[in-house]
Amino acid sequence: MTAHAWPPGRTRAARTRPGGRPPRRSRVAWWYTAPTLLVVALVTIFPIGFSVVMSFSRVELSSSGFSFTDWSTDNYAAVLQSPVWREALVFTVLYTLVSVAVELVLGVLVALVLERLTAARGWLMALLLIPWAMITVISAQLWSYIFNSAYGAASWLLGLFTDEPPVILGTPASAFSAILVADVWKTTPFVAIIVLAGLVTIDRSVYEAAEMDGSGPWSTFWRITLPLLRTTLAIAVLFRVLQAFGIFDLPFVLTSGGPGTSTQPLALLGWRVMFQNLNMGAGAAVAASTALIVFLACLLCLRAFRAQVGEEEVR
Amino acid sequence: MVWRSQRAVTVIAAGLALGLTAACGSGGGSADDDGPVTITWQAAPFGDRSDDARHYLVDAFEREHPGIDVEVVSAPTNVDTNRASLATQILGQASTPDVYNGDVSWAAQFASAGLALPIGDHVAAGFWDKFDPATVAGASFEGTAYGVPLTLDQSFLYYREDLLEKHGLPVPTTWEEVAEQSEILREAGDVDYGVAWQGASYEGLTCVVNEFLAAGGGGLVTADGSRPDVAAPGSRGALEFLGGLIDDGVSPRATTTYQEPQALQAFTGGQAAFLRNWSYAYDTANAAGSGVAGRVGVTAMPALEQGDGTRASTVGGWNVYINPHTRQQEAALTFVQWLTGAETQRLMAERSSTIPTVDSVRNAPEVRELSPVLRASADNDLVSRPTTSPYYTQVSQATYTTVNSMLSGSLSASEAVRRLASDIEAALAGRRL
Amino acid sequence: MRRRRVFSPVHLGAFVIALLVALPLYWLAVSSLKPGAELGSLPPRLWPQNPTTEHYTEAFADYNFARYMLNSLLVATVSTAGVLALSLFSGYALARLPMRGKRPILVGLLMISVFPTVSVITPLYLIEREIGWLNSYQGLIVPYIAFHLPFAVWIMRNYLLRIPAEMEESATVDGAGPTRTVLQIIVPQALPGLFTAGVFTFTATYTEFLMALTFNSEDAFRTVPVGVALFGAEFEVPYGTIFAGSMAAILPVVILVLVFRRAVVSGLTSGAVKG
Repeated sequence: MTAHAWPPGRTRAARTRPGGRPPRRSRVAWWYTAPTLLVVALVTIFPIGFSVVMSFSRVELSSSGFSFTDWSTDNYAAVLQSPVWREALVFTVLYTLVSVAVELVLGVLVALVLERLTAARGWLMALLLIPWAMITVISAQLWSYIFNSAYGAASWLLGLFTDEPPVILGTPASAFSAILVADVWKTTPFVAIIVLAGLVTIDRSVYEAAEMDGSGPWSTFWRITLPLLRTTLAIAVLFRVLQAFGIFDLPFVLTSGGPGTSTQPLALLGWRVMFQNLNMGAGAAVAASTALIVFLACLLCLRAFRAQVGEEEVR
Repeated sequence: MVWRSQRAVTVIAAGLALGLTAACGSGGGSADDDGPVTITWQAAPFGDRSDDARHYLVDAFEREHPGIDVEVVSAPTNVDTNRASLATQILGQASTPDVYNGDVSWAAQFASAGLALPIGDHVAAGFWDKFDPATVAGASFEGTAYGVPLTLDQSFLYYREDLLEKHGLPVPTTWEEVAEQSEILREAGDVDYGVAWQGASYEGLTCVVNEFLAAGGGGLVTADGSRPDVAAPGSRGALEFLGGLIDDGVSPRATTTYQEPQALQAFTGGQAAFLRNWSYAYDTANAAGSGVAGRVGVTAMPALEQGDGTRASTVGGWNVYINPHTRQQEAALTFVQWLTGAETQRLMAERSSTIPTVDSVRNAPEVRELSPVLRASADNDLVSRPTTSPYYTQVSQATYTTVNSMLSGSLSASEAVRRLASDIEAALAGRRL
Repeated sequence: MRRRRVFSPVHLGAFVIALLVALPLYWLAVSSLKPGAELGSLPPRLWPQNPTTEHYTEAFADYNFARYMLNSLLVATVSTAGVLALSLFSGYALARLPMRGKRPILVGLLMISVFPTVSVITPLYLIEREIGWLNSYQGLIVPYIAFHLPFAVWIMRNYLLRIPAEMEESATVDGAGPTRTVLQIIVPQALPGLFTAGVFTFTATYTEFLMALTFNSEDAFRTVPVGVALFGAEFEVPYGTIFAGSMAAILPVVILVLVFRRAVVSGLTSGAVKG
């Protein structure tokens, strides 16, 4: 390690050594980071605060602007008393849990196949990336065609086994499944690739040792592979959960939240209250309460987040 | 440490925002006074399927007004999405679309939110004389007209003339008859279903419920608009009948996903013998490309035997509105007045089955002669939706979400009535999201 | 040595996976070539009897699809450039320079990168309305940069942590300032990281829907997802036209992802986890 201050040292000793021009280096660091922090604060943190303020007021819209009046908790009272909001919350939570669980199980299965695949692995990986890069709205339109009750391919296929062709988007349970299928198709490949990354880091010798002990493939998977994948899986789950919680595009196009409001997630409800009913204050209350739930979830997972940072820093 | 720096960042951010405001806020374009001006018109295709009214109207207008070009922008199929996308655009002070077609039920909400130009302030008072005063009132808010009636609409019952003839059945006048005849036609294997209608979770279902409740002797809200009226004795029966149509197989299960296009398709594809739809369906069902062209009859909406004989038909239709932020107000006003002029209304009546809004055109014998739909409308008992409430949107949402849940089997009719009553009451009081 | 069986469970699994992934894509492509009547035919036809390109003509001649694509490409490209420029420097600072509060900054950025968009659209809508940014390119580009920056910073920082320090050190010995060092020494070495961050940002901004729907719903500024979602006709959902436009619209991002497939996979595997 040189005594120069500028080239970044990577050990604790280098970092704390007082030689060179430490003030300049940290000032440079702030100059480099400030634009990012500024933009992020301006466009994300500041609006979240703004949204909280809005949610406690009556927002009057006119063609020239908007104004806040009547500071009260009325918006939250309306939200909490609303059966539509409760239904949206239940749907969102249920959908998040189910979709992440399904994607995780399937993702691990696909990753196991990918890991063992020798020929054409690159091709399969390339194919898997296409759904991930697909515009969700487009895949939603495609699925709405496939699930169409009159001439959809899926309806026709299922109709071969039932007396009457099913109306996939017509009942709460099947509409839920339809969204799930569309989401799983788009997201499982992505989970699979992350899991695969975890799989390939597992040292082959661990498996060999297990085999020597007479462990079968099934018990090897449960006793060796899965525990070693824990960190990878935890991160995948964390990100997927928080993303699934904000689901909007798929129900918007595929079900419009129906039948009834049984597949209406919080994000769609919030958007509708704001831009369909033009009730900005109540919409902000829906949005702010959603943000609060996500924030609490983040705090719960803070350790996982910090672990991500810490792990990398040590490396 | 982090919190302090974030606060500092927020302060700087606010300052930056102000700077950006100064720099970019004045970026509006200026209207070009020379040469033709262009206005955009957001409208879903209307008129006849094979003869889109937007195209021939624009052609005719541009011939008469060479100084104004009209550019058509397609509107989303779903009425509610259409409204939300217009609201985000115009609330955001977009200058286009300059002119847009909007449902008659939007007038109060759009006027109060500043989404429509008070056209009444910009045209001569005599302009409105050619319309039915009730139609103008429906397009007004606090005494000023914000929209100009473009098409007048109401629902009708369409039926397969050939099938009724084949079985010697009369044209039905009650829903019970529709159900019975459906049974006969289905058993004979002529059709898969009896009647197709709009049961999806959207505004169209509110229209259906509105007329069923009226046929049953009740309504969504009381006459003074202050309270829900769904607890009226006939309401539960009417909703039960509606749900029974699906449960008994008279209407397809998929009705819960049907908007106008899907219902129309079930009829034109020959799967359903009857269809509840608006006036445009007549010409579309008889046009080339329809599987039942030339075999379609139209009649007034049926009554419910359990009700008081009201042949309730929900009033619908489209107004044209002007964007208050348009940079081409004069051209937009010219276009809107032209669209709703007697000449244009006559042209539309000749080329499609839409009902003209101009009284003299609608009542002209030669126009009546042209249109079986207009003749059928004589027997319709028109019922309005409670659109004068500033909370109509919420009332409608409460209605269509609850009834759609009932239709898909998640609620019984009596539960639906209870939930409707409490949700509509909350909506009218402004307590519903 | 065991002989490889042709029909091992692994190969069967791979085949099933490929089939399930590819079928909907195949259906999209085939449906875009079917004339209107065949789109509604039962049983569905695996192959169009009378293939037609009429829907492609409709999408680009009757509807504004070319405009939507242009808008999408422009917004996504500028946003990606902005994100890369900002994240290169902040990622570098967070990986290589001494700084107090690194950990809270990183944790905060990580959290923001997963925050649901819906919680900020109304305030952003009202702010943009005040400053006249709705229905403009910057009105979408600036929020896109802000929302996709945290994740890109994260990728860049992780990537830069792994680059050996020797070359930077010798550059400094030669008297290069920090910015020159970053541009001349770090950028060439960090190219794979930049590709990863770039592909992720481009894909995310090209496919984003909620903000585009809310801020840029005016026809002239619609992006592809908004155009596709608001596509409409009164008489029937014009699936053929939608699919034809969609085929064209997904082409750029599919090509990008396939070309940079290594960058994407390495991004996904370096703890950079986002869909």
